[in-house]
Amino acid sequence: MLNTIFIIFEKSYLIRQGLTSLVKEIQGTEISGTYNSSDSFASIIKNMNPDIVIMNKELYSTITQQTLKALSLEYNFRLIAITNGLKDSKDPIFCKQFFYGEEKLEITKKIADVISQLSNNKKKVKDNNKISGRERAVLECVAKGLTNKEIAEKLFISAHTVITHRKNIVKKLGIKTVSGLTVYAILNKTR
Amino acid sequence: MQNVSLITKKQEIASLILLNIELLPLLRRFDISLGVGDKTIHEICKAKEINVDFFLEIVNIFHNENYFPATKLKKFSIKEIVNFLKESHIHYNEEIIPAIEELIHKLVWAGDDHERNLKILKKFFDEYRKEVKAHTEQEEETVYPYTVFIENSCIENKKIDECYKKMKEYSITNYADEHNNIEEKLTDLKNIIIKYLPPSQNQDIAIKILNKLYKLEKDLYHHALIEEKILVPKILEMENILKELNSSEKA
Ligand SMILES: [Fe+2]
Ligand SMILES: [Fe+2]
Repeated sequence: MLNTIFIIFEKSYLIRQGLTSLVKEIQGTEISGTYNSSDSFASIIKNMNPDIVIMNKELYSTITQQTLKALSLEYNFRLIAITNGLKDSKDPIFCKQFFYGEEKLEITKKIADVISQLSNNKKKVKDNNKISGRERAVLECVAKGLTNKEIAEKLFISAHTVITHRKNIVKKLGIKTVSGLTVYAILNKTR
Repeated sequence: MQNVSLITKKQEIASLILLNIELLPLLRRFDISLGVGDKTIHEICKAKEINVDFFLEIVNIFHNENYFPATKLKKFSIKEIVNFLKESHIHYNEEIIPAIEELIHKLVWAGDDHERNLKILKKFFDEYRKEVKAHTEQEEETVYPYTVFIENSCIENKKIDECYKKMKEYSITNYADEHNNIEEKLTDLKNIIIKYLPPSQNQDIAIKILNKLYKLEKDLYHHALIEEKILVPKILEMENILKELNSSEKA
């Protein structure tokens, strides 16, 4: 399994150190950077591609919600906020909040929660990359050399749907040519 | 043009190869043997009677990912381009592809599916070999001779009539429209070996194959670039000149 990558944005040196040692105690984690400001937030995210970003809310206020949302969608990371204790339900973008002076044990639990959410979520992404039953049927027809029209007739779907399936197959497998798809289909037959 | 470090004729040919090992196959296609000493590109080209502008154009295309050929400024002949392209074809068909084929034959898989996997991989690559052969043959038998003919007529200003007739049947735009991408299957094969083939017992060979596929893919990409961005525009220009000549002759 791959490590869960963390990045921490926090002004206070002590909090940074504290969180770093806490995260390190959890198995399968890795901290790829700690920062005292959010100045080059976007480029850090792009370069590090983290799974979890822990960030003080003060720093977060310099980044627009929009940017944050767009980045978290594109790079698929979770945000944990460090706050002054006031629960703020207006921030749906944070999946968890840490409070100043919160118990170590509590924080560890929260981090573990987010990690487990994350791995469930990743599994989903992986399943999405697998080809569906319908797509497999189309793939097998392609491998047999049938035309789109023939496939449509055989599977009782429209030619347009066949094309959509084929596009998805190519996207998911990364194989473009008919002979490449044929090789894939044979390799993956009934095993 | 970004991040381009242009190669110039004052550079030593040895430093060129040390800079980018992927340029090595080009020496063969220009019939330059290793043991080049400290000769510059200019000196070697002079000794070998290679058009230095053309040589530079080719190495720059292969060296700089973003280099865009500047056809109109450079003076070199169609014959030179065609010769280089033919040499490249020989290299692909007679050496690079057979070498990959041989490696594929050497692959051994773990498990019961060994025979079947080997068979489909061989079949896939066999088809590919034929596809490349057909592609290059068509170019050598039809396209290249046509381009040389057009160049000759343009230079000698002769046989304009005959030339015009030919152009009515076939134009370089036909070639440009139909010229297809022969790297696609290689990309697929790379994908299949990396992702979908069950592990082979012989990882060394699998890695060697991938390395070779990667290099050939790049090589073919640049080759097609020369065909489409140098050869085609040059011939197009000549076709236009010939068309004008023909109409003024009739007038
Ligand atoms: Fe060619
Ligand atoms: Fe070609």
